[in-house]
Amino acid sequence: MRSLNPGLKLLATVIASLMLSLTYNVPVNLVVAASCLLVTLLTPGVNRRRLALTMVPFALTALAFFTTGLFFGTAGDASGVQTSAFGQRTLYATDWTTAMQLASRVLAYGGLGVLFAFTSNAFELVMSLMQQFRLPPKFAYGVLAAYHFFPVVTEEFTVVGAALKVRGVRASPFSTKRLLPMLAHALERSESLAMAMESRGFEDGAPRRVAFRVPVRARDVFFLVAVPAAIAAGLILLR
Amino acid sequence: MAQSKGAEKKDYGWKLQEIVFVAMSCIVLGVVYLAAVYLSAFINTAGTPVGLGFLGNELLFGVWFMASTFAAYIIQKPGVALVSEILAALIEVLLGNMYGPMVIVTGLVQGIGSEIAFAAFRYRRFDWTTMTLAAFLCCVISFVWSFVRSGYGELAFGLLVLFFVIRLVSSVVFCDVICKVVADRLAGTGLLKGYALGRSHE
Repeated sequence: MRSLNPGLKLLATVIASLMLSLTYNVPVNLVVAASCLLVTLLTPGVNRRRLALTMVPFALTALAFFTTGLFFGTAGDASGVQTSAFGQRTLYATDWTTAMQLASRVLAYGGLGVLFAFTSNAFELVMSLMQQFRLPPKFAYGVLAAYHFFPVVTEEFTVVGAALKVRGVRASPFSTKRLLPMLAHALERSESLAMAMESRGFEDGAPRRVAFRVPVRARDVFFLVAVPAAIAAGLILLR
Repeated sequence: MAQSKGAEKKDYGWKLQEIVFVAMSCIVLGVVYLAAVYLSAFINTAGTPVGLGFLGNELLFGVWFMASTFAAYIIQKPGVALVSEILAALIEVLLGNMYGPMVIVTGLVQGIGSEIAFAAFRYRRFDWTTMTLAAFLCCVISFVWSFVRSGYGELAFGLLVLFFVIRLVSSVVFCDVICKVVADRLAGTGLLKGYALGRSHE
């Protein structure tokens, strides 16, 4: 999985997600989720602890969807059961079908997302988007430059929070008091970054050569065709 | 390069600095969002047993469009709202968002929402009206998208109304009020001189 072309892998997972989002097939959703997780687990070098931690919010979201679908679904055979506000039904007429459909879909998205996130590298993805999907270099390198500031910004978040605390100001994450200094720093930083890039000869439209080539091989194309084909087959066969 | 003939002809291309700025604000908003997700997790968990576990998600939904209206309000060019929402989604994917590549499609859909709002006024008005309209359209379009993506069509009508109202409130608070207030204050500091918003504040 790791050596697949990340751009094509992205495309394949997007197509797969779209196919699943247009259908309500519980077995296919579950099979997709399980096989994605299995492949991710079998990929060498995947941090299993992190994988398990990532799955916790997914399980919670799926559970949330499950109960929502269970109590507020519309597809149940609940004719004649009295409905209260928000259409809540009694437990006898709860909607297991909707619940399973919604929850299994969240799990399938989760599987695909995890499969992609744990086996792809950000730098290679951007390079692939630039080389195979015509993302302009200006955007590719601009985004990469900002991306590498993620740890700095995370630290800044706590620093700004601490600075506010020292002054006795309580600020929620979205308080303008917290956002303003962070965005002001982001502005200054992006200005100097852009200037630094341009002063080192980064120019848009100039002919470029790439030192890091992301190839498209036969197996990448195979993956791109095979994943949607497998899902399509599943949708037809598993009812 | 960018200054060569931008004097009287309006320059619709992206400058490198604008791209980096949009990407950087996406990162800032992303970090803030991550912090807020922990808060919403409590609401989610508390709501799950009664079938309202999705409320927390809806409460924070507006944050997803913030990058788009924020960037469009500052840079004020056609296409900015759409492109910055896609950039925001790409950055989410780079950071390993748990919903994975699907986020890019969602970003595209939501970007179209706010883009329509600014296009309706031919990119000449960037004030409370267009910002609120952008927030509203983002909310509506993303809600339609939720029918496809999250299967909202399967849920009871009353619950959908509740979800819609919450998402609308969240969308107006986050990408209308907070974005505009922060951007105006930022312009007040004089840091935005190179951008359309900063120039209009002089």
